[in-house]
Amino acid sequence: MGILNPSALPFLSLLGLLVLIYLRERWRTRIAVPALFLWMQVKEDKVRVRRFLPSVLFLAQALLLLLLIAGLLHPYRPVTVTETRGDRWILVVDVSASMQAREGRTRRFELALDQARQVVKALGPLDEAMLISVATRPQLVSGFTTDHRQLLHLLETLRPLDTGTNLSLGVELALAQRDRQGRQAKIHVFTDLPRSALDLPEAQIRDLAYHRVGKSDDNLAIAALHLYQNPFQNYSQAQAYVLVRNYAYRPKGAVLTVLLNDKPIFRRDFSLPARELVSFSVKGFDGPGKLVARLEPEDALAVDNQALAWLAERTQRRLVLVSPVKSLREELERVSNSIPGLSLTALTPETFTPTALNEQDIVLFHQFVPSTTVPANSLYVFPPPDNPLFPVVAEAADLHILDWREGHEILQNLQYVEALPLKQARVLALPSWAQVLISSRTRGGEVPLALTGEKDGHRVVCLAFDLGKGNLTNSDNLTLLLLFLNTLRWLLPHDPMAPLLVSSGETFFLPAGVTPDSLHLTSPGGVEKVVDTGSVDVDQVGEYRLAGSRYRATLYANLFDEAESDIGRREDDDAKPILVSEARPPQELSHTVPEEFGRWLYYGAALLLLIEWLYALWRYRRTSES
Amino acid sequence: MSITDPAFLKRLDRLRLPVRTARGYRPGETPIPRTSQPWGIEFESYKDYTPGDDFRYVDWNAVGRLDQLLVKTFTAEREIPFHLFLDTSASMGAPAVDHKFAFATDLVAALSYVVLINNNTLRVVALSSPEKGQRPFLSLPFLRHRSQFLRVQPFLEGLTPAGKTYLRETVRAYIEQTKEPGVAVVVSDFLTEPPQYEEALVFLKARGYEVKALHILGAAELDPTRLFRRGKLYDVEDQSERWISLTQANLQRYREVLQAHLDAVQQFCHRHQILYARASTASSLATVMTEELPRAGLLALR
Repeated sequence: MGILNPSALPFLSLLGLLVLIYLRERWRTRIAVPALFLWMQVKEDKVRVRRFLPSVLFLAQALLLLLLIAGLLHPYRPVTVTETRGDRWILVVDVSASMQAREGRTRRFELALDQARQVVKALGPLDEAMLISVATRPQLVSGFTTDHRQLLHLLETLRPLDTGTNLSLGVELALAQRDRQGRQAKIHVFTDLPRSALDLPEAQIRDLAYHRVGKSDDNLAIAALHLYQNPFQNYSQAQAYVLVRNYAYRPKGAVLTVLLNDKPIFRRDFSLPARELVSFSVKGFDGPGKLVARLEPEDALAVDNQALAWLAERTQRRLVLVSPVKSLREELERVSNSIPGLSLTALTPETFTPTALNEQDIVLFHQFVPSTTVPANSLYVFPPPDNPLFPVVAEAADLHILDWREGHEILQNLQYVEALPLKQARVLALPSWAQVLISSRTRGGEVPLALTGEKDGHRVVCLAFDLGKGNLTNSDNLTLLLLFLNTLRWLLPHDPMAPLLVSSGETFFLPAGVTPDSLHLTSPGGVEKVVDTGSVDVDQVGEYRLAGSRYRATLYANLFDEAESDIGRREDDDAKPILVSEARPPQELSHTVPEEFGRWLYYGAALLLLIEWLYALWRYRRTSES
Repeated sequence: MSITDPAFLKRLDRLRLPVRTARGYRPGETPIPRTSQPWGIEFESYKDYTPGDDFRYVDWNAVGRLDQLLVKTFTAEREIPFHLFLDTSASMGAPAVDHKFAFATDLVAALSYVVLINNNTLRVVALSSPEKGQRPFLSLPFLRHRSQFLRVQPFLEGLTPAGKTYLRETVRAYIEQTKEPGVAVVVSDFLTEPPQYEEALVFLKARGYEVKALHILGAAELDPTRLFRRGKLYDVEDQSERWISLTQANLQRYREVLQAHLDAVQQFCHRHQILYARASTASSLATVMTEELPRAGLLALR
């Protein structure tokens, strides 16, 4: 005997409540008699009446309550059952990119599937098997089933993906499922990775049936494609680097071709020694567009022979400074002169009109806030009191930076945020649309020193402190200069048509505010499907297109994964093939299972309630008749 | 069986309330024992002829045998005024399960019917509580014919039990206003201190009423286990409280006290030649009217 739901035990306190209700009722209830003088000679009960004395009705109600609570506790009694059943098996199949590697006339994946099929065919009729596929994440393809035909069908539906692998996670999932329901399952792993690649304790993986496939090391891969083009550079100033690595254990020759909008702009024959890498620089592009690096001829693994990048067309960016301070204008002129793609237009608050701006401008309002919002991304520095956008609560001096939003783009490469000069700052009330980027603290509470946000569709940054009074370009204020340049970079308008670079195996999340309504995804293979969640699993290399009524985007997916490209994997620790043994005959097993009987208690409670009701009815009728 | 049931009324038609000492001045149908008159139906005795006697009542057979003029005399039959007193104190309404007051009003109604069908005059008097300036009693005027029975029922239905028991004060107030004594039937639970009911009954006797006491008992009074096992009892008249646990000893003690009270009421009535009868709500109205009260002498067959 035992209980499965001890969390219902506190309900037993309701019995105390029932006793209290009875006691209260007793004290409250008086019995009317025609004359008390007849009772005056009867001994008054000083103690017993005040004590709780259960009545039949109380006992019935307490029993009813006990039955209900006992039912809630899910009581059980152990029952020994004997059943005939087979063994359990878990098949873990690696479907990562390296499984696409050619091995002679076939692929590693087909070799692994062959072995998996042999295991399934050797299962006894009552044997149950589970199927798990593993790429970047494990996926349960089928739970335990005795339908071996279905399992074979599911094996046929598996395809290798253009992603890395996290085999350890897949094996962990299998290990978690291994001892379910007290029955131990045998785990078979089908992969091209060595057993040593599993990041699991040896004790856990000792009993794995590890089917390793693949011997070939014939792979030359594009290990990286870097395109250096900062936000102020146009395509002609950009420079691309293609890193090629030979993963074979012998020298290999190949041809690297770089195409810009499908037009070859770079071609190089080369030969690489075993396990060596080489970098190629490509520059002097004559236009923006899609950049493709391709290796020929094809080797054992084709997925890493191509990489994509996007060469953006950047026009001259204008920084519009609106400031009453002349010294800042001179400082910014020095800064803009050192940035080729940036020009400065300086205005005073009196000469500023919002119509002079366009969408591609960045506006810097220094000690000035216009009465209306401007149609461009803007930076507000040291806003004056009584401005309409950032309510100034107080002035503060000699503040120290206490906290900042780690990882924000504006704070990139800022190693010493605390070094910002903060002799004087304005204490701002945080607008509802803004978030704190850098904060300090005074006696009155947290003080925002830098705010970011989006207002009326434009990015806004506000610095509550001044830009160091003519010392922006001073080497002592390097942190401030970096913060300023990072802010300008963050405020640069984003080109909505520029493709987004992702790694194969990643999940691409739709931007905030974009709903997947009528959004279609076209994969690199040309297959189109409807996006019904807020994310897209990128599992192929190449170009993805997202198209909807209100959102369009292009994704360039590359696979730069050394673990996948290095298909040779010489750590050959377990190359011995595993022989698939004949299935064992079904076993008769006796085991103890809990048999719940809570529902009988509920039935008893219902019966008791019925009896009480009938008794009450009988009493009522008897009273009425008398 | 209710008071409006024709079958029950037919059974009441055969009953009368016997009278022993009460007198009436108007001719009626109620025989008055030990009182004669020179005409009538029921022969009582002979008397010597005196001039002026009606010759029709001379017993000529006796004259022939005894050679003496003897005149027959008959039992006097009079119209007797009946006063039915109903105690309407709060104790008559408790405990509620007994429906004692409803039982008492039904009894008064049935007795009223019996009085009226015997061509006697009837006055129903509700003895209420004179507290807070209320009238000490409510009553109907004298009713004389069975057809006026229809006035009794609405009067009784308008009564509710309330207040303390003031039998002494209310009876005294009544008899001071009423000049025609007759038969007084006091219907009460007599659950009050002895001076209250004793003085009330003695007042009536002293004023020449033939007094009959009808003691109403509730079933739960006789057997309190029907009412409770333990709990806080309170007196409906003075609101005093007492915690009682109905153990066997306590139950025995209560029964002794109750029996002593009943005996005290009964012995007082016997001492003062007051007819005493009990009616329990455990019995039906028909049983009380046709069996128990005739057995006690309060009713008789016509």
